Amino acid sequence: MSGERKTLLHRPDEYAHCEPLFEELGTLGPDDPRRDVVRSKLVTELLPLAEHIATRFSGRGEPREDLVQVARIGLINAVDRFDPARGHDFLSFAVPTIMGEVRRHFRDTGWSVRVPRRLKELHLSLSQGSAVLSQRLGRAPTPTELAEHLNLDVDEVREGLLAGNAYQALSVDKPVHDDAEALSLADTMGEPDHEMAMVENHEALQPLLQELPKRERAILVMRFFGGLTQTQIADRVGISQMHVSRLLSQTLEQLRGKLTGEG
Amino acid sequence: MEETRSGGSHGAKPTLEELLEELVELRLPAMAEQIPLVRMLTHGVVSRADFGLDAIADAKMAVDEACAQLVQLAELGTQLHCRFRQGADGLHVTISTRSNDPRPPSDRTFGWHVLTTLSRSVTAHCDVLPGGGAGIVTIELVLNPGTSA
Repeated sequence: MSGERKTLLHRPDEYAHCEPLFEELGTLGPDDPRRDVVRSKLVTELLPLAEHIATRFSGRGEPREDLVQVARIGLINAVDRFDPARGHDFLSFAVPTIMGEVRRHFRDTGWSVRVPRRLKELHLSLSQGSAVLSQRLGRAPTPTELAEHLNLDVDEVREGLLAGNAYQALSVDKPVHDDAEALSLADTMGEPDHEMAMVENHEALQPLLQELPKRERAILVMRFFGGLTQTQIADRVGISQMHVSRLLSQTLEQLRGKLTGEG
Repeated sequence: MEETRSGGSHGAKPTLEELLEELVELRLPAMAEQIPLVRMLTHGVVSRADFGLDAIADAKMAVDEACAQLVQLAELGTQLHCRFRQGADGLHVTISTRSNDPRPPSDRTFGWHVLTTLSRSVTAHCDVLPGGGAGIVTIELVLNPGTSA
């Protein structure tokens, strides 16, 4: 398995001295003055764990101190929520909890990336080229077709497409007033009740859908409950297929976090 | 691993089909922040297979979703095993991991609906390991190039 994991988990003794503390914490009532003492001691002893996890996420454009702070918050949450009576050991409970906190931090801070000009230009021509070809072909073009149309090498096209998707913060086809367009699509589509009824957790999904910005919701509904392709959606909404693709995967990821109770 | 030919029938002469098969595999820690790597590989595989742009994006979303579901089920410290193989009916993407909840993911979630919308077909199964208590959970997607429309 992974080496990092080993340094993190393969020394079960490292935090073994915390076990009696957890047991003691479990016996103390919420108002017991001893509670704060034990809790602080536990958190202090476990601080290296937070550092460890923060280190794993370094080099992704976020200052290390920020990551350590966030990981420590995750650690405190983990200490507070850990229940030794449920038979898990602390590490396997704490590691995902702390990582979840750090991940959320990345999500919230947007993780924006500066894109080199050459890639921006390539992205722009790919985006315009695919709009032209989609019109002509009645479907989304392939990388080979795009390469021919733009007189580019097909590998360059493939990489350009990848770059365009990787940089979520890319702004070339983002309208200036992102939410200003009061998209009435969601209303004109009608409610997709029949399709959604097939989805067991649609009760949980409904309120989350309502929370989405109008355009994101409309795009999601058109793709997953209206059977439209991304190119067709792009056409209706008036943005590029690549932008639709980016919005869709962002929205899915967001929903995923919330449906599984992570967000 | 020890198995260097994709067909892997022990000692027997490989069939023509096995010789021509181009199996692409990736193993990585079953953790959410590793999923972008699978996404990148998926992009590489399907754009080289000259899928349409819609189908490329759909493939990546489908693989994303399948990986996310499996990561949820995965035991801490285990790996995600992803295989891409071109079949007559489309590109087969098989993703599996070890779980101590040996059941395939529910087919009645929104996530599953997403998978079926994005793929030509989706199946999931679970092979319970000897002794029970753990199993290998697998999701298999068949993806289409989307250029026939």
